[in-house]
Amino acid sequence: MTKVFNLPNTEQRLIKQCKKGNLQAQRELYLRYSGEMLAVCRRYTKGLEDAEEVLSNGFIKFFKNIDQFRGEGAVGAWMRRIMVREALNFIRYQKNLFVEVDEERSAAFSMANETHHYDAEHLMMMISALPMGYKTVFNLYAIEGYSHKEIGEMLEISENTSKSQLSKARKRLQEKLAQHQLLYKNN
Amino acid sequence: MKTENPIDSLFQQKLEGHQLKASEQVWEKVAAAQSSPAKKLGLAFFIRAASVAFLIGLSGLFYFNNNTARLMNLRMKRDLVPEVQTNFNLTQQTIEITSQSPLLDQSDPKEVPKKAVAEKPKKQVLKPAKKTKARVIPILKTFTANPYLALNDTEMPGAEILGMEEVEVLRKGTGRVKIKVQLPGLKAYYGPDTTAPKSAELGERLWAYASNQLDRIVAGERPSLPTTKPELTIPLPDFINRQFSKAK
Repeated sequence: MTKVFNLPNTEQRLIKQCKKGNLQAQRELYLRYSGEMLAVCRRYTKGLEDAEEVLSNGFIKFFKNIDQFRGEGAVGAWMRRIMVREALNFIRYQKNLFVEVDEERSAAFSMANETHHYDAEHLMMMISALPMGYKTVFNLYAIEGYSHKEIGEMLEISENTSKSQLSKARKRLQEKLAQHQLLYKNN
Repeated sequence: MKTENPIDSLFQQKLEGHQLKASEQVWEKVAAAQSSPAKKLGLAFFIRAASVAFLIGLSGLFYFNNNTARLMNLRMKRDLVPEVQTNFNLTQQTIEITSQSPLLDQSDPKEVPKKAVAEKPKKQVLKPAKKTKARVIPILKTFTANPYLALNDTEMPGAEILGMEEVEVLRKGTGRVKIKVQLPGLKAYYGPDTTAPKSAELGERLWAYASNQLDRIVAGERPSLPTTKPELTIPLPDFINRQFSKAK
């Protein structure tokens, strides 16, 4: 007869050790999530250097407040929220966060076209090229899944401003995607 | 409810699980900021150490408070040694031990009584007793089996009480031996308004001391002062004793 032992989840044990201040466990948790979190931070910042600064500040806050994590949800989601808020704090002091950009007529982009040739790096570059306000609202709404109301509260803007910024971001991205499709077809 | 936009969906799908490699400097910065647990540990250590010190002090306080009576006895015995300095002049009728002169300590105990008897056989040293509340004068009669104690203005249960006037009469009389013992600083022990010097315990101890000295003098020996030294032992708390025993 075999006995089944339900060992606690490795991640739960890591969290437990992190709560005790175990640096080795913190290091392991960092290695597990730093890549994903850096990508999150990178979408909000102008460059990788800024993203790494946000990442380090976010991890410091994460470990500082890890006692508040009760394991009710995934630690990755909790960490992601911390990173997003840290990124918002970082860009909050950026000037001209929400500027009106003259829109050009966007080229037609059809999802009917194959999209498998878009890799993450290309899309990241497209997002990165957006103005800060567009980029922030698009990331929060389209990628992170926040509502316009939540975005308005986080960025201290109205819901209409959030919707407007998102609409313009979509148009800008649609234009870039169309350009990319054209280049892809020509090649 | 959100409506799925094709551009949103495209970016959401493609960027899901996207990762970038962070430089090692990021972790170094994060690790450097993790010194706070050590600080917390240090603070906790100091709090524990302070608590232990406080408990030791508190236990010592309780110990001394609970042993006041015993410590008082020890202190008075100790104080008798240096402060009750004796000078006796042997006469035909009276031996007086006062706290005024330290000559006895410098003199030969065997020679002094003989010389005093030979050279000044009839000299009497009469010193008026000071009528202060801090002074206690036990008077011992040679002709009675149960010497009695006379205090300035106190009453001793079971003892023959003499007032100061009667004490003076006794001093000037004959066939009596008087031993005067002065305890300095009684008020320091009990406070200015205390009635503690009137206690039976103090009187008994004075009586015992004076009686002992009387016996020695009558036997021709030198008065001996109390030599008992107080030994104070402060018990350590049990957990410290356990730590010491573990270390051993």
